[in-house]
Amino acid sequence: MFSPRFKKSINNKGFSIIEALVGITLAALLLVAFTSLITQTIKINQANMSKLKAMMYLQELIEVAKDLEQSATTTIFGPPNDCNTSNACHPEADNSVSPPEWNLVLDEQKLENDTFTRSITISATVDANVKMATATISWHDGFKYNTSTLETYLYYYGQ
Amino acid sequence: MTDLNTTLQPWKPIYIIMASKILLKKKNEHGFTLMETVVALGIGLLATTMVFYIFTLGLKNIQEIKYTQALNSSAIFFLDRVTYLIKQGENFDTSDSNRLIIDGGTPNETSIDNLFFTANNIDTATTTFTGMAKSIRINFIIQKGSKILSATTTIAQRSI
Repeated sequence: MFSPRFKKSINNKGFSIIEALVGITLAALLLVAFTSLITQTIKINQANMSKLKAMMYLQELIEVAKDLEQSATTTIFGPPNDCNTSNACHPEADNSVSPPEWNLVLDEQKLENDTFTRSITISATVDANVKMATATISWHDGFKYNTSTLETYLYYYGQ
Repeated sequence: MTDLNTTLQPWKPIYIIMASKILLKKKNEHGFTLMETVVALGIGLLATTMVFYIFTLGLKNIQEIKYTQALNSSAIFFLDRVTYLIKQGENFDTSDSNRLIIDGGTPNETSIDNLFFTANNIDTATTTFTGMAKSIRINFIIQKGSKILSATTTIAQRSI
């Protein structure tokens, strides 16, 4: 009753299961790609913020060392103690005195629920009036563990 | 001679039924059944909702990224400025813990407080300064939109 051409056109009216599956798979792939793109962007942004904080905490160690260079010469240049003989130490503020003072305490310091771990070591150089301060921080930025180090020299200016 | 009226006779009932069937068949092939329409509308609605949801989520995330970048750049700008002023300064007044007054540097007297942030496109800011023996401890909490950056650092005075 119908011509072959007409029959063919009838067969092409709908989608086969393969076509439907291919379409759904492509749509799902696009969705996953878009979602992972956004997720990665957020994670990179968070990683940038973590890095900024890490740099602030790291710089703070050097600045504390520069404070102690002027305010606590005995701690740095005096007789050997825990924190001027290459041991990992961390600064703690002593608010019981006025103005508050920095002290170096043995062992590394964990910050922000163990996200950041920092320490400073003060070691001798060939010149007794010069010490080397090495500040180290490690943190996890959502992708991997990172470590950064800063170094500076501390000079004895006399009392 | 053939009698045309006798051969074709288009008014005969059989021809009318056939013509109606062809017309009806043709009509069906140009439209959709109710079921097809409902399914197509359902799929279309689902697809539109998903696309709208993803688009909205994407926009929200982009906004949050912009907020985070604003916080980062403001914090860097603030620290650069404060570091410069403290290194240049000689006398520091932190009697008002939310404001640092620096004297003796260049310019001669200047102060830094949360206005530094709020004047630079940050929604809310809290700054706290503590004068240590030879350094200034700085704590700031800044907020832009839904994002918050809280940080503590220390800037030492320059070595004499």
